[in-house]
Amino acid sequence: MTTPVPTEDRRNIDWLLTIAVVAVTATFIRAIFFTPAEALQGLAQKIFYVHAPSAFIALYVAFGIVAVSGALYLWLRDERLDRIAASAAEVGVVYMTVVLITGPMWGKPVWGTWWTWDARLTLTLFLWFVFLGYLILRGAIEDHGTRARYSAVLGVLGALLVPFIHLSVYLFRTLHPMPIVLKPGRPSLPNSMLATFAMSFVSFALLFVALLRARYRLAARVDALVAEEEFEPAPMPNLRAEPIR
Amino acid sequence: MSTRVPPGTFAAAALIARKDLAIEFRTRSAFLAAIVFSLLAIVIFFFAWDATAVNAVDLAPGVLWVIFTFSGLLGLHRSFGVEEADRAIDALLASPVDREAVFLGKALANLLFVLGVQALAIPAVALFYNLPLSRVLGPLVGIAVLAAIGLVSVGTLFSAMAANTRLAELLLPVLALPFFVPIILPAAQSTARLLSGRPIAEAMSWLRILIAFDIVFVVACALAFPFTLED
Amino acid sequence: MPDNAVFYHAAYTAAIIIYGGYVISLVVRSRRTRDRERRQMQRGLAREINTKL
Repeated sequence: MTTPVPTEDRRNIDWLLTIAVVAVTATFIRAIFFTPAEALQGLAQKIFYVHAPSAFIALYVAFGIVAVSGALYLWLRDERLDRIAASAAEVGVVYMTVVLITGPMWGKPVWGTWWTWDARLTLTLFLWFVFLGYLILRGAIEDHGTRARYSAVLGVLGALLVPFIHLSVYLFRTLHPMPIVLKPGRPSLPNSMLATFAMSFVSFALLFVALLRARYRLAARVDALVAEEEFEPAPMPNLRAEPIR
Repeated sequence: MSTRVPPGTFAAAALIARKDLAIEFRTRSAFLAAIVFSLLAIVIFFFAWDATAVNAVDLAPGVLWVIFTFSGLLGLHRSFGVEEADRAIDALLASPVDREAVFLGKALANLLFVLGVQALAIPAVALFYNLPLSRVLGPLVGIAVLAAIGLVSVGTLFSAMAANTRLAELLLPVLALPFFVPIILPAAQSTARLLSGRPIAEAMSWLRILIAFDIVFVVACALAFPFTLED
Repeated sequence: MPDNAVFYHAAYTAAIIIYGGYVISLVVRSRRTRDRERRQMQRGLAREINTKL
């Protein structure tokens, strides 16, 4: 039997995601082949084009969406808000993982150390843990309403936690200054580098939106499936499958 | 039989705390486990560092706060785990008390649990690590109480959440530990200042973080708690 | 110019693997969901036929 190709199949290609992937690929090509290397930091400076946009989007945009849509969910109880928060958390973890991996690879050649307990780095690390806890929490709850409420509470509390972690690690660092840290003052970037940087910012933001949208649609489809299955009658038991002993 | 008026929020909280402590006092299982755990951890930590290279006084604050965190988690597990048996939580929620009162009662019982562990663990650390305890006892107790309040408010909320998940007690540390960072860091830092003979004023900025954390998270967790219960 | 191309190559590779891996995982999950949707639709059709017969 041949299954007829449903017309919806053509709609299954996510055009926004395709465009975003092309844009990010173009950014990579420009950064790798058409952007001059910085004289002082060498080629490692190019890590900046991946690291900085990812960090900005993960820390401010993704985390903000999780917290705000969590708070709104507790107020409005609209499951779409929960889906947005869950999608932002998952995509945020991906971005933050890239930040945490590319960061030390830039820090080692330029700062001379893989990791320093600088306020920003520490905050990123702990937010990554909060995000991971958020995803683990979601994975451990079956009931949709409970899952949405619990993760919304965690998202809101996570936002409250940010200033405290920042304050305490900042105080920790200033009391124990790190002599090895050699923060390069940001030189005025030449035009070609600035263009690459702007391009990478736009393309990674576009990728974030596309991934968020794709993940949201997936969640909506899975939710619809599960809701439908709950109404289905239990399948007839297959009597032949069980051998008689 | 006289008609009884439902208790107010704080009276109800006190009743719930008394109930939890009565269960704990009659079984003593979690408290004993937490104490034994603390003593074991104190001993193991000592051998985990080279005692000739690191001064015991430098080691003690870290040890103290790591132990409190983990023994606190031990007690927090039970806080709502004990209500899951026979769905006792349903009876608690059906009673005519505010949800906030349930939170405050649970948190109060947990606070007394953590303070009880601290009351035994601090002298034990002082004994094994040869600390000048009498000199710093007053401020140290203050820090311990402030830290315990923050620990317990966040921990109680997450314990209620973790009890309703498939992972149960495995989830609590994963959720709670990132939130304990702004407690452990100030507590350990100000304890270190105290033990090295500095005046308490030097630790004031740390204590301010601790106090602010307590205020913000006690309020936030009490407000968030009703959302973690079944509607 | 300091020679630190290794770090640069490693960082770009890691970023491509992680972002690419996530995009692929989304595509795979979406495919799997589509299969589930189809099966569900077929079950529904079969039920409809059964009840009509």
